[in-house]
Amino acid sequence: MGRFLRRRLLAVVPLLLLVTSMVFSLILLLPGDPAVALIGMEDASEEKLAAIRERMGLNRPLVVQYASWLGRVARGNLGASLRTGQPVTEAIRERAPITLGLALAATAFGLVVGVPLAVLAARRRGGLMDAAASGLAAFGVAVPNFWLGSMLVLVLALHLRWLPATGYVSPFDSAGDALRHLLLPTLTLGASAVAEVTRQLRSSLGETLAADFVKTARAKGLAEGRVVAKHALRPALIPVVTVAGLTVSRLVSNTVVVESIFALPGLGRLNLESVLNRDFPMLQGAVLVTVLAVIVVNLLSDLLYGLIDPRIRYG
Amino acid sequence: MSQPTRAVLAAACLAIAAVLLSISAAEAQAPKSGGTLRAALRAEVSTFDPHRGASGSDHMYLYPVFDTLVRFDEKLNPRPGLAESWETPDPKTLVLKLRRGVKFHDGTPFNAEAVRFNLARAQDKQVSSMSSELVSVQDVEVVNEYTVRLRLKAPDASLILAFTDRAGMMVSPTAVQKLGDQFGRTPVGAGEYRMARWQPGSEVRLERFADYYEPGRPYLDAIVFKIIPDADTRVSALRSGQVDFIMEVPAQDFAGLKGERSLRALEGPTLAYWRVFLNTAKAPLEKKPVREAMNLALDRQTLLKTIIFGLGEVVASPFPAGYWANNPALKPWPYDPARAKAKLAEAGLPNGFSMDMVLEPTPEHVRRAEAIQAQWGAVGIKVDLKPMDLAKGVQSFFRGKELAAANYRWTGRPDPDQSVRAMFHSTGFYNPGGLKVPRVEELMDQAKATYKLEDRRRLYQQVAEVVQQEAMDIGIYVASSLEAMSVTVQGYQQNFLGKPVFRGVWLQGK
Repeated sequence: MGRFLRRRLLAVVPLLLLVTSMVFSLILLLPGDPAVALIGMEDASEEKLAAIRERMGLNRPLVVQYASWLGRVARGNLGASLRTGQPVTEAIRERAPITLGLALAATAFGLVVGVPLAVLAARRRGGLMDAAASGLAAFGVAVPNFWLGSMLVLVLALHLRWLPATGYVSPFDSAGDALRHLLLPTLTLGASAVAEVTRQLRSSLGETLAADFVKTARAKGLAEGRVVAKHALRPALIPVVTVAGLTVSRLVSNTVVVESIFALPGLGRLNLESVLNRDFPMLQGAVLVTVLAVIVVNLLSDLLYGLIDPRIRYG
Repeated sequence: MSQPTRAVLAAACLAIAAVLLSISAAEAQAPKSGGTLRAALRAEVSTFDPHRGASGSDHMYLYPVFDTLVRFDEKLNPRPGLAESWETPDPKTLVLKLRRGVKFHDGTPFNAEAVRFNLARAQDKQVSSMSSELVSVQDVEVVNEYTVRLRLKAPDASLILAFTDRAGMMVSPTAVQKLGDQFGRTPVGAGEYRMARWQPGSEVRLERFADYYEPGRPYLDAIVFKIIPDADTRVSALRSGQVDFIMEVPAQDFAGLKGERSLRALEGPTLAYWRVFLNTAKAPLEKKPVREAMNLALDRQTLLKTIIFGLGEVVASPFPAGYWANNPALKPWPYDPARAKAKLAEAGLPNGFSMDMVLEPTPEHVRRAEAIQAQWGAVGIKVDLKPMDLAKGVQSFFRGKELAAANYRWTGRPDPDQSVRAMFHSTGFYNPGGLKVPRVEELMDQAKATYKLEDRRRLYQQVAEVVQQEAMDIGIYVASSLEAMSVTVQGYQQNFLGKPVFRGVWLQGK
């Protein structure tokens, strides 16, 4: 177990180097630099651009820029935004909790709704409940976030006025208000998580329920509820953990759309805006945190396998 | 009762009624103090340092914090600001008389020394992004505490209106010296509001400056700018009552918002000029008949109606009706596809030609570019659309000069010289092919050196005539500025720049 963890953590270092150098070269391959992005169509001139580039430190060779960035990162300094001058660590501290909170809430929503739905569906394959759950799951996978989000806003916020349409409130300012603001984005983002969990668990549970040991359990005269909860569910959960892990990672990137619809100042919007602004210190920082989050979630789901199925060994 | 008495009585009744009416009207009009205005803006401020910054979306945040030397009215005429008056004793001297009793938010007095400090900082290339706006200023002399004299290298009539923009925004000299690089995040100006809290990515809160020099002003306790990049989300935020004001209402939502009783939607003329920028270094765009054909093949009224629901104006030059430098005698290009084909034949291209055109990949931009593509296609001009994000488009088209055309909006500038020079001077950044018409350059130089507004107007009218004769410009239309707000928002006035100024805004009790 210790060796497994050590090896996995060591693999993170080259991975991060690879990702950051890729992000760096990708953003440099994009035509247009941060100075051009800043001025845009607003009274640009070559001398104005030159002055801004000079101040942003863009006149140095690319390799020098990357090396100096890397050097600073190694000392724990992620630099500052080229556009606003905000320290990158500060921006991440403010924005990462919003995105991670949202992704976790959406995954939790997926599990809370998806697991019972799948159990109901798997118990009567081909029944009415199965058809309904499968249909719902297909809808959840297929529906685009931006459409679902807009519809939820239209119905729940603008017509019924039950929930706020947009915006973010920090839970430290008002916990109740924060929850109300988080509900619609969670539903929007969680729809696909519900669908994924339902589909995966329904099929794996279906297989397990047909397995010999379940037949044995039934033959022993155990109640059906106990058969499912005690015997069938646990082995069927392994693919769900995989899916849940993947879902968290996918949601972290899907939040780009949801954060735009709901005007949430999270990592997704930071990523998008940093690309459009060619703000590479900020983009690097945001990508770094996103990658780390994905790695940690994958590691956690690997460890969870062992908890669910003691036969799995880490060597 | 005799006749005259009855008449007197009637007159008295009328008079009383009139007085009562005027009182209630005055009551309805009298601004109330207090309240917080929540306004949704598209982009976040890049920096609160007016000299360092360069983004066009900063202004809405800067105007309330920084008073300017000169103010503009809704039609972009210069009006007194921190400079109460100005005069040009000779064409190379500009004397500014400053307002007395003005303080910056940190208590530093505003005076001639502060103006000298500000202009020097705006000219310092180490700090400033906008030194090019002040190139004509040789030196700034403090005559007395409330008078400064600017000596110019050459006469420059565009300076006055440049002082309504970044160049005229006064920063506190003591705060700049104390804060250094941090000034852009914790600004100190002399405006109606001071910066209270900036939550990056989310909102900026400005609060009333208690020592503002005008008694009773400002009316609001605070302004909160909410950063909402998505246009549909801005509309939802207004409809659900989460904000009181939104700018850049999507044209398709305007009629719907106008129909809501709790909201007010305003449409006003702006300098936001949609056009096709050409790189005339790419064949065959250097040929005048080709550019004439491109102009004749466009059905601008249809574009205006279908793309932005008629919320704008087809114009003959970059300027809308009612703008002081506009030429009302000039007629827009007619729609005449047959003549367009004849012009192409005249240029030796009877079968038309192909070119590429850059655009931004957002729905309205795509609709507009596709409609232009179809209209040009009808006369044989085949357009290959190249959607790109703004930074890539500006780099590839204006700097890299790799492509033939770009369909963008010219956002308009406070002074007409800035617009015509950028688009129609052979050295202008927004004229990537360097198309040169000497007559236009002479006229704009002359206009820049002419201080009398009447004479300047006539020169810009001539510029517009020559630009049309030489088919230097392919305009589509001028788009209206569309803003929507809760009916509680009072005293808001749109302006030709299309950048909301919240001066004089107050909130009616709910």
